[in-house]
Amino acid sequence: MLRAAAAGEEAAFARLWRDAHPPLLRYLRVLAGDRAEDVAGEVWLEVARGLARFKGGELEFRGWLLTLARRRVIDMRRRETRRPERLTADAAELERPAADDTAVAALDNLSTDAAIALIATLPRDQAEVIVLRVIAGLNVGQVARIVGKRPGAVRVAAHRGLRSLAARLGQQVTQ
Amino acid sequence: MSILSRFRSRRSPEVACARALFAGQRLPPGAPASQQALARLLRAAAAPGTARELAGEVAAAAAFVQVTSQRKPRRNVRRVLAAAACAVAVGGTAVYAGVAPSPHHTMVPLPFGVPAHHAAPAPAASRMPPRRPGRSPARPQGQATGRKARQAVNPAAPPRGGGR
Repeated sequence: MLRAAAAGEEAAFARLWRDAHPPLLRYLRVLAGDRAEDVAGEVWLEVARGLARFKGGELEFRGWLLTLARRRVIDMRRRETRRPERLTADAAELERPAADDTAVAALDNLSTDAAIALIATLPRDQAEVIVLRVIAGLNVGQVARIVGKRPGAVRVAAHRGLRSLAARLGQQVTQ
Repeated sequence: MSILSRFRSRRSPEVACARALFAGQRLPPGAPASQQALARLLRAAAAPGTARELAGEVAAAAAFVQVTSQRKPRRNVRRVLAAAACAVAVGGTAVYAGVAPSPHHTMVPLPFGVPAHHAAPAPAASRMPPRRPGRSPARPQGQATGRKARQAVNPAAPPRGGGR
């Protein structure tokens, strides 16, 4: 499928997109909030331009895709830092929901959006690692390469994130 | 952290639950309710793509086609330009080789009314100085003389030892 897409086959690219877009979008919701759709569109354009030169399997492709997404988000934040007047407006848009509200919603219907929203209430490094490990299905080494940390730090962040989530959910369960 | 405490932490139910959660496996029996809720939460987060998430497939495929179609003609144009440049270079060389006089080519002025095959043999070389009867042609000092040189001066003379 990757080779066919790299050769320019539209149907193969569509299959690739169907597989990889949901994890990408959920990852970007954690990192970029409401701008996830826009950033995802830019990432896929970059993928379309560079896919012919890509070499690797499905896991490597997923790692490449999420690396591109992370770089886009970092660039976006840098642009916002240069323009503080926009940062004020965007900070309101990117405001994270309160943990209690999202935990209740997640327990009520357990929709994907509610689950992502609850994960997004974690500290950013923990939320990012959990999304990459659980949703994108990457191993510790791949996650470490993407986020630029050591595997041990990734493990610690993941366990802390899970512990925080479990504590919040436990509070909701016992209430 | 001591080795013993590290060993204990690895065996703790929480770590076992975390491993199962990351691997997408079922939790071990007797897992606390919070871990069960966490497992449900992560399953929901990793669920297959929703219809809303996949709504942009057509637009994404169209953008992909547009990008790849912009990329292909450039390659083709480059290839065509390279092929044309090669053709011009090779063709130009061939045309020049056909038109230009070769260094060994001799222009023989034919008298009017005489067929070409009856014409007198060409002089030795157009670049050679005019022959003077009975004298060897002027040549640079130190140039070797030999049978070929003599034949060039007087083509009608038989080569030495070649009369048999």
